[in-house]
Amino acid sequence: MPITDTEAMSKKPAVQPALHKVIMVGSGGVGKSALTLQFMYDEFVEDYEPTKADSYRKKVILDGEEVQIDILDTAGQEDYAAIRDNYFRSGEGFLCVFSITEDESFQATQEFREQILRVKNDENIPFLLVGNKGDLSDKRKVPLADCESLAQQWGVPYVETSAKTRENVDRVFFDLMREIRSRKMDDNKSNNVRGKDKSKRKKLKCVIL
Amino acid sequence: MSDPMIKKLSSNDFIVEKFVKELSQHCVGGLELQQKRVEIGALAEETNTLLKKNVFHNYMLFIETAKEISHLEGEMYQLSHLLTEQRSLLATLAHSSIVEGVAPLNTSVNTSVEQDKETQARKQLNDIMQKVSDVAHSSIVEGVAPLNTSVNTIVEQDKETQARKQLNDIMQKVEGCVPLLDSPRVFILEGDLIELDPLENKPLRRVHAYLLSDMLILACPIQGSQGRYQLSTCYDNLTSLAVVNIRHIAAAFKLLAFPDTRVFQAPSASGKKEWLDKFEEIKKSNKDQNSFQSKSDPADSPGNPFEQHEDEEDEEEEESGASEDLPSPSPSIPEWLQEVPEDLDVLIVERHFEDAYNLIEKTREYLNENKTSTGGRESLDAVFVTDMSKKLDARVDTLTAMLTKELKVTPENTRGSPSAHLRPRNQYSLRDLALLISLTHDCDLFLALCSSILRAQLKRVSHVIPDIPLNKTSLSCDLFLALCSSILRAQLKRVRRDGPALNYVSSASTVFFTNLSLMTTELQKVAFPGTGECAAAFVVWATREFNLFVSYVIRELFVTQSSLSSLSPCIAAVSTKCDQLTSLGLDLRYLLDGALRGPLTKALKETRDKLTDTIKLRCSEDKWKPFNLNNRQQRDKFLAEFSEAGLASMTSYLTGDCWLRLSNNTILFTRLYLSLLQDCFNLANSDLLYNIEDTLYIVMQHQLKHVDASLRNDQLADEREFIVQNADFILNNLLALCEKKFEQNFKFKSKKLAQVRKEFQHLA
Repeated sequence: MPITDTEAMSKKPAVQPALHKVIMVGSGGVGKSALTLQFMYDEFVEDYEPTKADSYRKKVILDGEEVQIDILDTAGQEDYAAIRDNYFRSGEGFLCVFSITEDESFQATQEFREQILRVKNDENIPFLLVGNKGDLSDKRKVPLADCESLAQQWGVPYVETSAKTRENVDRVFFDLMREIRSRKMDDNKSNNVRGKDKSKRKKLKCVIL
Repeated sequence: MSDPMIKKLSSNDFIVEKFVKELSQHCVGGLELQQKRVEIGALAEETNTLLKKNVFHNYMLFIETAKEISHLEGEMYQLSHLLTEQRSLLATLAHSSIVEGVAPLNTSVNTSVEQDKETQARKQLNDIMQKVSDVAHSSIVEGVAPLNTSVNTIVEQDKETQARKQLNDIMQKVEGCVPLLDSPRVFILEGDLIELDPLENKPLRRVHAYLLSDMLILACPIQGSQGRYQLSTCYDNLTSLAVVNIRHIAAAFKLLAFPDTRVFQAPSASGKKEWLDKFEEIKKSNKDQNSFQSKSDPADSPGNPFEQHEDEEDEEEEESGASEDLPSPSPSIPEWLQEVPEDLDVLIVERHFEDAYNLIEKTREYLNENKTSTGGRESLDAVFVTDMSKKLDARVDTLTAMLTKELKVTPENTRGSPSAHLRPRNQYSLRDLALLISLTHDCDLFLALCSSILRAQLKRVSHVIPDIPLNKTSLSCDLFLALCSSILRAQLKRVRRDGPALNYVSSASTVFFTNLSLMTTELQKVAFPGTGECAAAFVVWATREFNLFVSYVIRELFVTQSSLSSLSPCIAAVSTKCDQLTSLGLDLRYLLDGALRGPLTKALKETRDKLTDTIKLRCSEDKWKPFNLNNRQQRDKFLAEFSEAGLASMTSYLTGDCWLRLSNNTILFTRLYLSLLQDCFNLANSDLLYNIEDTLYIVMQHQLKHVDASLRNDQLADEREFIVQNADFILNNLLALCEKKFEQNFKFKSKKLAQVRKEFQHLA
């Protein structure tokens, strides 16, 4: 695998812009698809229809550089852990979405986080905690302080969005892509310098933390 | 002439030159030759006509044949149409019965089947299809309903062989294919797809995909040989295969099966939709099967997919742990007993609560019997027994929890049309409650349950009942009342029995009558509006329940030596509550009075005897001396007490500051008699009136007899004036007051009190 990767890199770096794979996770009905559609097509869909699993790809300019973002919008209602595992394995960064109007969805993020960490085996996987439905602040059930303290505990950024008003929608995707990009650069560096596996680097970071 | 000529001309060895030679030899002169020529010409003409005729005739035959052929063609077409129709029919049939695990039909239908047989089969198939789809709709839980047996088995066998044939076909077409016939999998979908590069979305190669019920086979076409493939990949765990719909490429979807990510493009958008739908369908049917096997209900936790998963795991762990813990079965343990925990799990999951309960009871009985018989031969291994009881208790808890949950469903929770959803559930709930009661004997549970269930449950039940068909009315009425009974009795049991009787009686009657009025309202207004027969049943039921309640009350109240003054407020409390029911059209007062008559009469008699004894005792010690009130304070208090009781005239008997011109005995009697009168008023009803009057009469009589005797007593001659004053007080103040009160209370004058006045009038 690493051989083909480097080959692809050396052969046609100009032709194919970098691809960042983002996974949307979170309970059913928190607005994963709404965020995705708002980001992809600038549209807000009022009607709720449970997603099975949709994938999108789009070229965007990230800090002046053309990149491709690949978004996997997963099913909040997916019952099979094995299938969820397969979703998570294919991702490079995660937007863990909950609705600030539903405490249950906030509680569920804990389990998503744990499963992602287990599957990716990486404490520092690019990850954003996203509190959606920010426009419904009058129906807020999850206090901002709780969200921020959870994010701090995990060591991830917390952003509140509204798929309806488009508030912070671009920001969460771009922030995540930046994290993914910087992670890839780190990986390449460590690969080039020492060619060591992830676990060693991870260990090092743990010590620093 | 022409005949020989024709023969000659049509003979095989006819040679033109020879014929001309012969002619020229026979014929003499040009004339004869001329004639011959005409003859031959005519012959030619004739032959020509004949030929034309023949051609025409053949043409007719040809047309007729052609007609026949086209007719035949029509028939053939019809036949093929019939066959196609049948094929699609069978395919739909197989499609609609995934629950049964029946395979779809192969595309090729045996053409040698005779036509009439086919039409017949078609008809039968139509029937079956109807039935199968009905079954699929109605019940996954109930499993497969018995279908039209004979036809069904034939068709199913047919399908099975077809399915095997299909799988065989795949195995033959795909080189290097894994064996497919080892499990009851079925074929779902096949088709050509184009595999794309997952990074660049460029076509990589053509693949042919087969979707079976539990695996996905991807094969590459072999160059040169049409319809033959080389196995590429086989994903045999569809429950871990993530299928993703790709939105940015037309008709493409993605398979995530770690570490592969593969992108495929279907020939059309509808083709992609079919693939995605089939994947989803398989996942769903797998889930249904899983949830059918495990008890956790996925519908309960739509928001959090993890919960169910963990439940399942826990369950598995628990069960595997349980089976490991099971001690090696000793020969005396019957087989059914060992399987009880598993059977119970199954029964509970399948919601056969009654069967589960019966099994629990049976097992408990068996365990008890064999535990106690210490003969050695019969008794079970102690370890096994404790282990089994532990498991049994766990199942009982589960069952109780299930039932409790079941019963807590409020009307708001049930969606859709009430008649469709609630009717069967309602029937269940009534039975469930009965089960729960017998299962737990737990009042505390009811404390929580009844209060929460009662209103919701009863309301729900009563709302449903009008939907029940008419002929079932009395049955549903019985069930409804049985539910009410359970609730009532459970509630009554909860009332605490400690503390004074009044507390118990008043709280018990509050509980009883509040519930009863609630039930009455539900029954009359909601459950059975305007049905007379149910009203009758209700009255009978209410009578029964009420009698039960009254028997509780009586047992609690009428202990020996209970004083009238403690009884009367209790009785008054019950009576008031009881009277409130009349506003709902249910008058149970007569029942209460009837039930209380006996014990009350007895209590009155006891009181009378007690009072007369007291009077006798006091009179024997009577000194006929004025009563000293000691000081002003006491005097004022005393006067206030009596003026409140209606004897304001007491003031006129004062002498000096603190002396009263009445004896101590008279004062005590006045107090006693007034309180007796009040108690009597509280207890009074038309049945008891005689006894009450009698009691009042006899008590008064005793006191007056003592006054009379004292007047006649020569030793008390000095006190005569004082005694007369007392007698005057008793007769003209106390007795007059009592008579007045009596009349006020009962709206008529007491004969007995009048009688006692007459008897002793001479004293004053």
